[in-house]
Amino acid sequence: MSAVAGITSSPVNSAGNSSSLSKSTSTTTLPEDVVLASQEVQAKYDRPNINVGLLAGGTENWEDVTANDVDRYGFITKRSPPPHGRHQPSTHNSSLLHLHLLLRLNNMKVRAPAIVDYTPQLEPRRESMREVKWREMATRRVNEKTGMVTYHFEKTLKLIERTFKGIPDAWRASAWQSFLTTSARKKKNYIPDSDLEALYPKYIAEPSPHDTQIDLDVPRTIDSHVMFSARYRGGQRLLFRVLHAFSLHKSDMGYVQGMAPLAANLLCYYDETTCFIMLVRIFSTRHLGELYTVGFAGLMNAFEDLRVPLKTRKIGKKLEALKIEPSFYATKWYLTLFSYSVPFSTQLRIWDVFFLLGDDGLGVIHAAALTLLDSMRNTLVTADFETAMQQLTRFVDVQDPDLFMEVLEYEYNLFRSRKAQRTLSRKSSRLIAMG
Amino acid sequence: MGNSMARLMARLFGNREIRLLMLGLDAAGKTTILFRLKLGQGVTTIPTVGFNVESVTYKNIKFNVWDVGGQDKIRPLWRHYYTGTQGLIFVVDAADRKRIGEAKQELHRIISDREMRDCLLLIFANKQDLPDAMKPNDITMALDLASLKDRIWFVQPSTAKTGDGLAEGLSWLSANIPKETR
Repeated sequence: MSAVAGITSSPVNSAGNSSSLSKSTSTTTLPEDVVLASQEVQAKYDRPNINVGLLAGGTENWEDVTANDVDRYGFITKRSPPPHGRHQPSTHNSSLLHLHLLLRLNNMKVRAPAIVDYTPQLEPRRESMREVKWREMATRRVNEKTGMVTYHFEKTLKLIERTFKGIPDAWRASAWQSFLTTSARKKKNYIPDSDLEALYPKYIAEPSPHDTQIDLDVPRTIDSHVMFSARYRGGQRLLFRVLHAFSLHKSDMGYVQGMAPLAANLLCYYDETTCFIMLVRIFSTRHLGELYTVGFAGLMNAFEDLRVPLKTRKIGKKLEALKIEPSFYATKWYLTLFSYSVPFSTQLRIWDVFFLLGDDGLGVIHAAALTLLDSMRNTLVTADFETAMQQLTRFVDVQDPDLFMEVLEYEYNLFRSRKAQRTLSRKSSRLIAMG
Repeated sequence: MGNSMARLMARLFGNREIRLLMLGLDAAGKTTILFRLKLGQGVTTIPTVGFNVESVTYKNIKFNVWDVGGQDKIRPLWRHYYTGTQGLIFVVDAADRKRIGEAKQELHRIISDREMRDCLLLIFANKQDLPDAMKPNDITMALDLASLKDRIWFVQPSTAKTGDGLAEGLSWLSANIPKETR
């Protein structure tokens, strides 16, 4: 398929003009006041010298912050945690431990539980050893035209196993990009990177009817991070531009609130254009496009799938008795891929696996949701309606991401085998019918 | 909600518990109000996807407050949470004159739902600290509250950042809860 065909098959294309890349979202059809409002907002993010005084190429704001105040991901830790992280029973490891023992009974290979005083950030040696392993798995690719270097990872069993253990942070950006590009290439309406790159500045030059809304959300997306703490500048400016471009690219749905944390998290790893491309890829290859459809029918379907494994479990029965639907607690989990719901380090681990294995469905996301429910088991089984709701909608302070991922892997395999079983029984019943 | 034992205890000891749903356009200040009530201090908040739930006890009444995300795209999710609501807190950004019409439309849509037929209506005219914020009278007009029949409603000016007006709002609610839920 040619590049041009890839673009014109996109649903947001305006009529005609299929011979060029100019995918105008037809400024003329927007009412004048909307255009004016958009221009007014855009101008705030585009003053000359706006990023003067910021570090890291004009993206980070280190005013009143020292290296000691910031974690490895750029979150300013000396400031107060987000409100949703407060009054939180510190961890739910006892429930996870229960599952952990279950895993051992099932003769699964697991490490001794390391739960108390676990400090995941103090393992530089293990991480640097992993970096070497990942370097060995990576195939270097140089784009002949642009000279850009990317890395490709072949989806082997070893890669899957290592991804569950966590991608070393130095390789995360390259690995995610490789995983999503591989999936995107298989799609019928694949738009190559170079075409999306060409679209991005065109979008930036156009007004978007969503700019006022995006502008309301940008300053409150990540409240304490060195990239996003300067109003209108640095990371906030990039976040605005990416969301603006994406709202035009997905003009059928426009800007929806859960998109902001997704884009912000990606901006921690990519420049703005690549971030935009990654956002497009997540929506087209990782089912976010379905979850976000207008009216959220796709999201409700996903909750139906989550209900299947829940039905047979104590937690599921309890929630059903309390009349608590997945839509009550899992909306945020699914739309933001667990942003604000678990610590950033754990969220990244979920993304690692989802970006590698999320090709054929939301299995990883269902598994992560089930793992979170597992971790709340002790509180939930005795809870009344209001207590359960509070527990379910809160930030879960996962103390041991490795343990969390082991349980997630277990849940994921269960989910897959159930799915395989269903397919098998469907096939065999067809066989019998034929016989 | 809650089990029958808790209800019995509540009847014996006079504790009351009511469920409040807090709705309003995005960035009106709903989450800030919730955490101001809960923590007694202002916090920076993030746009709510889904909702936040907190319990606040005030004058022997336990208020279970559900704070639901307000963006137009996610409003279709609101009706999932209507059932069992005894009071609606509708939060308006009193300084956002451009969108007060949209706020009016949403409010009337919510309270016309069958599930919301009997609930109390408290309106926070929020962000009173901003210059040019509309006063309660202007809000009453702009939201066309006079047209509401058989509805107990009240407009309370507030500033969520500092907490001004929030306690007064809860006071009004506690004084107006129907007898049978006491």
